[in-house]
Amino acid sequence: MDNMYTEYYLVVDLATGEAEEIELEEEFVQEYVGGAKLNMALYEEHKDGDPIVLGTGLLTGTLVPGSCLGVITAKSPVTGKVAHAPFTWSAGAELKLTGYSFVVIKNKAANPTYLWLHDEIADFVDASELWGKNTWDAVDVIRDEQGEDRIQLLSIGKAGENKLSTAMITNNYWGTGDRFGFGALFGEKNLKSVAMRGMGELEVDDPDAFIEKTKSVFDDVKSQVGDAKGLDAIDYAKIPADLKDAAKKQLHRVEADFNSPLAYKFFLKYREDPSVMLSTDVEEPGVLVSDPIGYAAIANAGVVPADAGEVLEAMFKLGLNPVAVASKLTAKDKAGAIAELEKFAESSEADKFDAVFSPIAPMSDRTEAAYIAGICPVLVAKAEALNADIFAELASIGTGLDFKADAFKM
Amino acid sequence: MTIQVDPQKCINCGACELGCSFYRDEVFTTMSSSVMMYREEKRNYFGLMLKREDDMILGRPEGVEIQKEGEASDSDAGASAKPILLREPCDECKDALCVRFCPTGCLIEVD
Repeated sequence: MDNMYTEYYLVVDLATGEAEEIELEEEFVQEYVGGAKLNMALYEEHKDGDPIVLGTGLLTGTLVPGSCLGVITAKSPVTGKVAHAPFTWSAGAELKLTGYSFVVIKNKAANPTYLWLHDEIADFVDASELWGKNTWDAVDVIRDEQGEDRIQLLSIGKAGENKLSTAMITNNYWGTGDRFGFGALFGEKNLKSVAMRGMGELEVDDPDAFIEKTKSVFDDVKSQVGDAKGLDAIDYAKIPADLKDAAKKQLHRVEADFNSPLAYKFFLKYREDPSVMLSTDVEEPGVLVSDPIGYAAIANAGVVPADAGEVLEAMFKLGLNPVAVASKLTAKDKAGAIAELEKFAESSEADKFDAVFSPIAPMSDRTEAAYIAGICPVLVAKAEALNADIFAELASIGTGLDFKADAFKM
Repeated sequence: MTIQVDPQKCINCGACELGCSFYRDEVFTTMSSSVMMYREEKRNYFGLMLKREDDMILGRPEGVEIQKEGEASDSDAGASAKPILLREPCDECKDALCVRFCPTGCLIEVD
């Protein structure tokens, strides 16, 4: 593709250690558009290798609000169906800017490996030393090894290594929208992490028209999002009142995903005064609540509200899906709960549920379109200006091809 | 016209990097902007830097500092400022995309 996507996508065979660049053809994009839909086509093509497909949408990495979305498509160990889970923060855009808008990861590595994607290069790196390390240590080691602190990572912790269906792929130190046990698939494949650094660029067919339309969408989205942020940004997270009160006492700053106006993530400091704005010698002062639904689930399981952040941190370090494991906690305090989590990471318990798209945000008729366009489903839940008609218009301006709204349906 | 930075309003979305890069090359990238985010992720210490003709605005969460050319900074933001030294300085363009797409008013234009 000349515009909006990279020229190539990548097919990685972990068994042979080979990575093949394949041209991302215009006809293919015209038919499958991108995101979950194009991922699905790649999944079908490479089904024999039980692939994990990481993909972006046509609008991922552009200035269109919420352009942070990357989609993981694979067969879920939890549901037994092919399913789609989001990864946001900076990782979605980072993947595209590595030079590969889509990456198919198939088969199984003989030894623990991490995949290092950068500047249109895919390196297979030995991860034997990383196996057994928690996700935070893995991030630190890989960033240090590759010499870049803006590297974005999708990794697993102990839960994924032990192939548990409660495992979640993590993004850097925090969570993703993986509610499908895809972390177990990483473990199955001996894949500790996919590390990405994107210094590429995306061309646009009609830059002036694209920016003009994008600005009008941005204005609409901003007015629909309003001033809600942090703990009050997304009401469907249903953060209980006592948890909100506890969180307010630990609240440091609010944050958004890449190019999103919705600051629904918030950082809690519990090993340092949260009013401290300086960078101090406390290396791990707290946790980014990247998943308010998971955070609420911990308190709803009866954990003391003031301890919920630290318990969430433990889940992220172990690579456990907070929604799946919270309900299994019996301890009310952090020490007890964290000890239980350590045990869970060695067990094989999991809740089963039935879904195709990850329940990271409420489903609407626009959610599916967002998963194809590459726009954050959490933002889409708030902003009606983000819909299939708009995605089709922007996709057409950006590529010079002709997309209709119904292209943004599976 | 110049750009003012209010780093406490920053939500680290990076729209400014995308906007400025697009203004320069009409492509989407984060690599050619005069404004650059930095983040110590585990400490949640983040803000942005704006390279200007004769100095650099360091928008740290604890406040704004103007760093003259050749001056060293004693803060951590100084350490990660290195890549921005290779970039083009802000040319104070009209209707700057970094400002137009900043969702929080962290970046504003002033006369």
